[in-house]
Amino acid sequence: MAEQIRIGVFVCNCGSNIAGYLDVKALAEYAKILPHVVFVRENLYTCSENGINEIKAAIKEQGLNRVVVASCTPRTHEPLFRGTCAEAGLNPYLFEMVNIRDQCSWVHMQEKEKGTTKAKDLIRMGVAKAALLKPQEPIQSEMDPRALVIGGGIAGMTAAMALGNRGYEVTLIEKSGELGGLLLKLDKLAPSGADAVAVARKQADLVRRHPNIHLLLSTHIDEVNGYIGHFQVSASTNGSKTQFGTGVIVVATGARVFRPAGLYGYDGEKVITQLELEEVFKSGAFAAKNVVMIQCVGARNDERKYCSRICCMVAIKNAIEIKEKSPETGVKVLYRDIQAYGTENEALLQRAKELGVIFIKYDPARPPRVEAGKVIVHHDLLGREIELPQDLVVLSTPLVAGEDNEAISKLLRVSLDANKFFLEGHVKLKPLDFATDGIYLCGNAHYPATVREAVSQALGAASRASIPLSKGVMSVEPIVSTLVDEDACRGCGLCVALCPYGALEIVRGEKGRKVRVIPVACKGCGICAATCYHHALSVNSYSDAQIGEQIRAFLEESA
Amino acid sequence: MQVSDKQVIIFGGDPAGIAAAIEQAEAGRRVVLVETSPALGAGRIPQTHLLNGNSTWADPNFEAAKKHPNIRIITNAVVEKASAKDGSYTFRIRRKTGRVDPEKCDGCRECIRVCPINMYDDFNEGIGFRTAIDFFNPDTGDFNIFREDMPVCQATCPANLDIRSYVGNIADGEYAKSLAIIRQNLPFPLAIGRVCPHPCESACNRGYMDEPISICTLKRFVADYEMKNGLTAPVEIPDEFHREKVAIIGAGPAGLSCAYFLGRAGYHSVVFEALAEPGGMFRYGIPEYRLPTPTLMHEINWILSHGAELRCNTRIGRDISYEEIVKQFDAVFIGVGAHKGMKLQIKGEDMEGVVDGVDFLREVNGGKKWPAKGKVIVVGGGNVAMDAARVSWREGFEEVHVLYRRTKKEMPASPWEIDAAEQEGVKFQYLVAPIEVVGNNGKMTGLKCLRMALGEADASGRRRPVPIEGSEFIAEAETLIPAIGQAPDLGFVPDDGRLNISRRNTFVVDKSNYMTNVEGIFSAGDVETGPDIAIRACAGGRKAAEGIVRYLEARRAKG
Amino acid sequence: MQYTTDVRLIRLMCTGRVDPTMVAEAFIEGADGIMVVGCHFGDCHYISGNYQARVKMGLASRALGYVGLNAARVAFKQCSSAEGDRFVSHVTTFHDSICEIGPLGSAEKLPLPKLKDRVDTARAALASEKLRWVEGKFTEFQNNGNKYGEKFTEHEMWRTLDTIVIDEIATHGILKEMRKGAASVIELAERLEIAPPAALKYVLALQRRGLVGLAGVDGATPSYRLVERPAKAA
Repeated sequence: MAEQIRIGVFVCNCGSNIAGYLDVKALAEYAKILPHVVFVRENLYTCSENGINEIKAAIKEQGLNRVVVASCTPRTHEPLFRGTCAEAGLNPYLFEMVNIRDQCSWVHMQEKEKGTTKAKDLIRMGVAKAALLKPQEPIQSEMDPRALVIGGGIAGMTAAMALGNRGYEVTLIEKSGELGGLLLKLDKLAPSGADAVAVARKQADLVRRHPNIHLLLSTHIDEVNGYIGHFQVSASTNGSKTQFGTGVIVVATGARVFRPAGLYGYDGEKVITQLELEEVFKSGAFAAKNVVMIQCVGARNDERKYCSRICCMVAIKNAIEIKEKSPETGVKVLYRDIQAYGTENEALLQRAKELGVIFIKYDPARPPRVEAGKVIVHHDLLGREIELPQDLVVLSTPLVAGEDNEAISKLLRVSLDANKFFLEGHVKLKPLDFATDGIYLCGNAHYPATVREAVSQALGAASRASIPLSKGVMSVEPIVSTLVDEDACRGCGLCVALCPYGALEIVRGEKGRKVRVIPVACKGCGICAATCYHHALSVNSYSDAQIGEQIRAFLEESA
Repeated sequence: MQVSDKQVIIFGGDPAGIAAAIEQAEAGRRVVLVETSPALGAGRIPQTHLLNGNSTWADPNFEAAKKHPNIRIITNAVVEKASAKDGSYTFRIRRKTGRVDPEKCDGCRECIRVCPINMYDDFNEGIGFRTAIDFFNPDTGDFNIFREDMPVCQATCPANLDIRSYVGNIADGEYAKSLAIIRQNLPFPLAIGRVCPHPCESACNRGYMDEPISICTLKRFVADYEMKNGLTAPVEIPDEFHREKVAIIGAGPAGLSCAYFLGRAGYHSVVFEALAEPGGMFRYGIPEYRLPTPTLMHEINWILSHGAELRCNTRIGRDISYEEIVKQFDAVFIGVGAHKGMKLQIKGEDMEGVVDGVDFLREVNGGKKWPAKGKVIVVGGGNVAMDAARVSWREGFEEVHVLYRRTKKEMPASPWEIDAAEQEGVKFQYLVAPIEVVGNNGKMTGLKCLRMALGEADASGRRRPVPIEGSEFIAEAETLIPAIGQAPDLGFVPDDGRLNISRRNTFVVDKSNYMTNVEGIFSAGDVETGPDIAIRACAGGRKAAEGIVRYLEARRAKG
Repeated sequence: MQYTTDVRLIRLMCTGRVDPTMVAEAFIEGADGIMVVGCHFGDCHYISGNYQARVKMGLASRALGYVGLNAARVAFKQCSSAEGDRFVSHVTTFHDSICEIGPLGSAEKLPLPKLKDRVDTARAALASEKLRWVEGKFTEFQNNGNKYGEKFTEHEMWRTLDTIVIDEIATHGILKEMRKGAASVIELAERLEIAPPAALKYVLALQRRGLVGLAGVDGATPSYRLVERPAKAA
């Protein structure tokens, strides 16, 4: 027998935020005549202790089995009211919130009468939906306690170490045959002056000896399936395939140095990159008498709009190194803007100037020209072109996204930004997480970073990744897709193809091929429900019937 | 059974074709049966069986032919090319795409129910629809996906540009994408967009309805858009180049296309050019008003940034020997074009005042001011003659006459060029042929001509002009420009007879890789095809570059 | 920050949740305009939901426009949760344009019941699996290509979708008419206001798919009826 629906409506004044612009009394009176509504209360602040207690009391005394609060935004207050319902013994998903403040009183401050009519409609729509709400239970699932780190550069190694030290089993995959990444090509690190290769080797040694880290070199990832807590990874090492499971994934795939082919007469000998300069340092073959460095080569232009951030400090560091090695060598740095943030970096810039490095600003509309034995640049202050002698030109080129980024983003179903770097879940609130749960990022994979930044990001990402690992179980909001009509599903797989989270799969059961929702992976966006032509799928609390009822409730009176 | 080594080919898999195949096979011959539709016996089904819809029709021979050991059945195929030599025939047969796995298809017809694409049903002469995936006829089954073949425009274009995609992208406002598609096959959108006689537009299906899509002008538009807005065209070359180097002789459309595609594949090239500036016929054959030099140079500079080095004023055989080049480089591409004008083969042709069309255009395009005075007669009806006439008019000749021995209808020049010449005041004399240059003291004063009438059609399908007896007359003129065709100048090739040269003074190449009979020597463009349109030379340059890459790879693999 | 009181909001998790049939239903219920507002492209909180929504709304406006509804009654706009001003400007612009068009039926110059009946046909087409498949594969075909790696431009995808919309609306119009009883091709063509040869094509295509069968022959004119589909094999 169907239960009798008993809805309680609470209309909040929000002090004068709502009551100052809408006729709240009329709203409360109106709510009383709506179908299934058995109890209405007007509160000064529904979210206050008083208001909360009134809701609890009404649920118990009036036998309410649906609660509607007409107040502010669910973004801030839905969890509170849901909790209130739960405390009073009512399933928290039998609660509906109507926003008559942000969507009504605040935006119709001059139109009390019309605003009140609109608020009545919004309440009517909310009540209509509430009548169709169904109880939901939170979803729990066990975690695979292992971790995967992709990329064996400084960020990847650090993340793997951090996770390994916490006691989790970690697989570290590196596509080349050697750990260390970009550091292996560098000479010294600013601002400490530490030897880059030594730093990389030291960390690599620790990784290799760590009992919890399983190292896979020369390995490519072929396929990743699953979701947080239950990823299935297939990889191949020199043609031999391996498969393993993991609970979380850290992406630390790094970046490449842009090769300035065709720019400023780049030839790898007399016109070289900063990276090649460091290789010259390492080999001890540095002998130039006049060095001109050009900044922002291939960066901050139409093709690559971003600033690679680290190249200024690389240039300053190398300029100092030249001056220290051979003080009589002239070093000129042609720049657009200098990025030397932080106290140590600013000090290095000062040190370079003290050592006699000359910094000359150039205008991108009038870029320097490299000619035999000289560089010609338009000097803004002098207002004319000047000639700088050179026997070595060093180009500061940006870091660009790794060539595998696109492939990896498809494997993991995570996003890239316009420059093909990986895109974090939220610029401010989730800088080390992807939008997809259980996948994290750090280091150059995200954006050009110094070693220090890459290491702190790696430690942060490892820390983020260990939160679900340490819980052991995942608990997820039940606002997810559900297969509501198994018979209607024909197992066509269109929904599976469209799901951005890999939260759907086709399984062959007694009734043939049917879709199955993996609730812990589902985020409840509803693309599947909006696509299924047999309406076999629906989203909890946002079903076709519930949305349809809202539409009808809105239009029934105006029609 | 005795199987003879003679093969018989039968076109058409209808009952008669099947019967003939079995007859020939039984007689001991090997039979190839070619059918255009996806199934044998699909085309002709006895009317009685069609009317009696439910009975399954099967020719008893049908199964026998399928199982016969001597019969090879090729369905879903068309004959592309046939040639006969010494009583034997060679056919090139192209199989159309087959996208249904006959092993797996059980004929459930579910695909027909869901396929959203309705097509013209050729089995029912368009009375109903056929879906894109369908059986070919109700009795034989045999499902297939009917895919559109290569669009006619793309098939007609010598460079096989993906016209549909790049025009579609222009419609979407995706100009960069559009250019990227063009540049996959052609590095010269600016130049070709201006000069191409666009055979694609003549083939365009839209022409049957109203007017063809303006493919050529659209290409020019999108390339101009990039240039005029100062956008940089991306240079797509690999980070590392291979160590082999390729010599390219001739910086024309073919040579520069070859250099471009070699650069994209990671090979450096050195382009040798006899004249002062690169561009070949683009630079020295096509007048400034059709293709401005700055525009051309803009494009050429971009092409050269793909790892190509240009050496102008370097004529092979004068500045560097052919043998030297062959010794220094790992492969050689010859694209010297056809710059030698054909002689009229009439008396007095060596008199002062007679200048060949290509020579005239080269001089003027090279910046020489022509001493234009009095009347000029241009002989010929092709685009070179039109260019020569229109340039003469611009150079300041008082009167410009074009003599052509057939009528306007037979003229091979592009109609818009003829119209433009007429508009500019060039006078056309049709059905006139020159027979002698007359003059004083070795200086020309006039041209003796003969009137013609049109006779029977010749091998090219055009009606052959026949002289009218006694119709001689003398046309007074100070200058004569014969423009009746060009041939390659192969003077630099050592006459050791090693390089295979055709009767028309062109190189003979293997069309699969554009290699001449001498290993490592490749050729394309006018020097290989004879005088032809620019885009065919570009296409040849690309295909030769592909051939060179394969050749060098194979050589490296051998060690 | 103030805007018109004529709008009512329905909160969804993601614009990807908006089934195009909901849009058609809202018009049948009497809405004068529907605007779907989601995140900016590349900024979707649900990774790709707004790309789906873009196609779904584009399709809805095309299908509804094809049956005679003023297509400007459907809008798909974008703004982030931090761009209140932009939201207000979207609402205001849309409200102004709807005011200009006038209430449902007035701009369409069709009596309301007839317009709603046609919108209902479009709704059936929008709910059909054919349109759903092409709509679902739209972005994939554009960005990654089909099974054979062939990519299609925006222009090509919409061109294809446009023809499918026309076919599907005709097909569902015929099915809807046949639910009322058997009919000849001429009758169907008259009722749906399409050319008889076109109607014949659709009827024959339906017959080929096993959805329609011959009901009988009246003189020389055959009439067709719906075929009861056998219960699907489990």
